[in-house]
Amino acid sequence: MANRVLIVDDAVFMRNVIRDIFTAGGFEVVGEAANGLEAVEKFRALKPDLVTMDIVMPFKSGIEATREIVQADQGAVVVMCSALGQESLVMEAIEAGATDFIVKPFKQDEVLAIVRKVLGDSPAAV
Amino acid sequence: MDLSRYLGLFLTDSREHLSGLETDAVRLETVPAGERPALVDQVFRHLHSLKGAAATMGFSPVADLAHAAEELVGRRREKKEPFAAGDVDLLLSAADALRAMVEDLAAEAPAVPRPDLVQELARAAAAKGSVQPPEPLSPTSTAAVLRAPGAGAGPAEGPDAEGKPPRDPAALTPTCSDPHTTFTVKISPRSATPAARAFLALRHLERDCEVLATIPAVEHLKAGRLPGGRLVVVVRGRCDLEALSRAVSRVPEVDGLEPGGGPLPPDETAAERPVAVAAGDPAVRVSVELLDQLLELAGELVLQSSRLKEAVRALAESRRGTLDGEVDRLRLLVKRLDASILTARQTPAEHLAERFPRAVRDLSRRLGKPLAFVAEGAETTLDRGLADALVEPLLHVVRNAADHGIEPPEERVEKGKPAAGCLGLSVKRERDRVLVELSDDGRGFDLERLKARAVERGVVSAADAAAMDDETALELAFLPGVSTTARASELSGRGVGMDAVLRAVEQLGGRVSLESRTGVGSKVRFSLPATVSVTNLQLVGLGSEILGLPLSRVLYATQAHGGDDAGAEGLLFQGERIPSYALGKLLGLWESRTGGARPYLVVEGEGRRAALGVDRLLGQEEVVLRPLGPPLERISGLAGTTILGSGRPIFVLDVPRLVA
Repeated sequence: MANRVLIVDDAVFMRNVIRDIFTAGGFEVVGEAANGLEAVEKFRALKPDLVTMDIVMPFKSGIEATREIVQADQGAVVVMCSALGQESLVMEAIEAGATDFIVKPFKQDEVLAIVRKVLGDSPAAV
Repeated sequence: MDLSRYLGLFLTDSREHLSGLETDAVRLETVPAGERPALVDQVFRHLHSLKGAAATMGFSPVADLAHAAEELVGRRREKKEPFAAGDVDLLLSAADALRAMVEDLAAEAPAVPRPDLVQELARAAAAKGSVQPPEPLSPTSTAAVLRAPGAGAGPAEGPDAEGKPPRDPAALTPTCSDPHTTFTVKISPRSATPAARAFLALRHLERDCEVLATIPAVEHLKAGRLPGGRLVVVVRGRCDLEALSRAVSRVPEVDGLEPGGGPLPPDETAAERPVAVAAGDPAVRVSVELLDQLLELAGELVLQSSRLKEAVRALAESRRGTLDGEVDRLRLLVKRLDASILTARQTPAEHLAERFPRAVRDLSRRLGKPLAFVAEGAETTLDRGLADALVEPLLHVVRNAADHGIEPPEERVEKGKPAAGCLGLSVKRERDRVLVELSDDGRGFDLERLKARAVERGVVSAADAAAMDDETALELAFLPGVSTTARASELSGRGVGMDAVLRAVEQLGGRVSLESRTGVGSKVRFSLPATVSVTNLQLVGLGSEILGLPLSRVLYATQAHGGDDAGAEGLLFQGERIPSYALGKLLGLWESRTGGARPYLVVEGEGRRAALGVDRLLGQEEVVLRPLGPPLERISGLAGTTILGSGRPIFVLDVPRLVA
C-alpha cells in the first residue's frame, strides 16, 4: 500500500510542487492544509504516514503544529520543509519532535530519498 | 587525538561557566527558598558543562575537580538538603582553583591537580548526607559512616574527619574517569544545513546512549556552527561503533562515524570567527575588537559624509538638484549605523555589578564584619570596554570602604546602626557621562587624620592644614601615601587606595570626587565619558580661531550686553544669574571685543552653569572626537581635536573643566 501523505504549506504553489513530487514517487497525497491549525485537525482525522510541514505559517507555526501532532501521536513522522537560512528554526522543530527536514528548493530525487530513509525508520511504514 | 584547535572555545566557555558559577553560588546564600532549586540547577549545569568539556579536552585535573564539586551539588539537590555556608565556601574555592587551572591552560601550562580540594568536596558531600539524611538516626546510615574505608585517606582535617568520612559509592568512581567513547559524526559536504543534520544525528544518538559532551557544544551547534562538518561526540561507557552507526544511519546526509576526534577541521577557529546570524537566532557573539573596527569605520563614514555635505554646499544652488536631500539621507543612515554599532558595544551595568557580591562576601569573611551589597541601576547600559576597565578601581574602593570605612559590628550597634555594613553601587547616565557611585554607611573619612598624615608626609604645612576646610581636606586622600589608617592592612594596604583609583579613572577620561560625613558614611563618585564616538559640536569663532563645544553641554545660545568678563557675579540670562566669562580670556588667548552685545553660550558642566562670551556663533557639526596626545593632553580645558567637514582642524573644549 502506498504511503499516505499530508501536505502542510500556506502557499498553493508549494503545495502543488510537493504534491507532484510525492505523486511521482508513488505516494498517496491524502490531504493538504494551509496553516498549523488545519494541519493538527487534518492529522487527527486522516492519520497519515507522513506529514510535510512548512515552518512559517499563519495562525499556528509549523513548529507549534509539530509539537501538538507529536504529543498526540508519538509515532508521527513529520518532515519539516525549510528554506536556507532557517537552520535555527529547524533546530527548534527537531526539539519539538520533528523527524527530519528537507530544504528548499526541493529536488524530487533528494526529497524522495530523505522521505524513504525516514519512513524506513518508522513503524508506520511497516 | 589533537583537540588543541578547540582550546580557544574551551577557554571562552569555561570562563563563562566559572563566572556564572561564582555569581550563582554566592546567591545561594541569599536567595529566597522558593528560587533556590532553580539556582541549584544552574550551579549544577555550570559544573556539569565544564566537566564534560574538560574531559573531552583531556584536562583531567579540571574535570576531576569539577566533577567533585558537581557531586556535592548533585548530592544536596538529590537529598533536598540545604546548602551549608561551608558548602558555598568550598564551591567558591573550587571555582577559584578551576579558574587558576583554566588560566594555566590558557598560558599553555599544564593544569595542576588539586586532590586536596577534590577530597574536601567529597568529604563535604558525604558528611552532610550522614548528618542529615532523610532518617538521620537509622542504624544503616550510621553503619555506612563507619564502614566507608580509606575513602578520605588524604590528610585529615578538622574533628569530623576523624571517623573516616563516608563516601557515596558514585563519588569513588568519578564519571569523568569512567570509560567513555569518543567518535566523530561526519556530515556530507554536500549538505546545505550540516549543523541541523548533526543536531538530528545527536538526537538519534541520545535515544541509545548518554551523551556527555560534544564539540562544538550543543549551544553552538544550535547556532549553526559546525566547523568542517564534523561533530565530535563523547558518550558514557564503552560503545560499539557499529551500534552507534546504526543509530545515526537513518539520518540523511550523515556520511558515517569514525572513532576518536578524527582529523581537525580546516583552520577556522570557531571562537574567533564571527558567525552569521541565522533567522530567529537570539544572539551571537562578536569580538570587542571587531566592534571597535566597525565603530572606527562608521566614524570615518560620518566624517566622510560631512565632507560630502560641505562639497555639495559649495556647489551653485542650480547645480545641486536633489543632491542636498540625498546627502542628508545618507548622513542620517550613517548616523543610525554608528548608533547601532555603539549600542552593540553597550553592556548593562549588571556586567559590572556582578563582580562585587563575591568580593564583598570574601571581604566580610576575612574582616569578620557582616557586609551587605546593593546594586542600583544595573540596567543602565555603558560601554563594555569602560565597564571592564572600571572593575579594578571600583574593587579598590570597595576594599577600602569595607576595611577602613565600615566599623566593626559591635561599634556599629553601639552607634545605633545595623550590625551589617552596607556597600552600595549605583550606576546612572547623565547626558554624555556615566556616573558610578560607591557608597558606604561607615564612619566616613577621618579628616583630622588625613591632615595629620599630609603634614607628616610634608605635603602641606601644619598651618595650612589647620586652616583647611573640610572639602579640601578630603581631597588630601588623593595624594600618594596619605592614609586614614595608622595600621597597615592586609587588604587595602596603607592608603594605597585613592591616588591609584584617581589615576585609573583619569586614564579613562573620568574624574573622581569624594563625599564624607563623619559617622554617617562616605561616597566615592566617578564621572566618566559614556563612550567615544560621534559628538555634536557647537562651533564658535574667536577672532580668526574656530573652537568646538560639545552640543550636549550647551543649554542655549543668546545675545547679551556683557562686554567685560562679569566673572562669578554673572549676568542675567532668562531671569537667572549665571557666572559669565569671555571665552577668549578664559582660555588665555585674547580678547578682541570691547563692550556691546555679543553672543553667549550658556553651558553646563557637572551641575555648574556658565555663560561663555564668544565673537561669533558658527553653526553645528557632527565630528569624530580625537583624543589629545602628549603634551597637549596636559592642557586643562581641552577635550580633544577634530577635523571639520571643511578640512580645518580645530580644538574641542572640555566644558566641565573649563567652568569648574
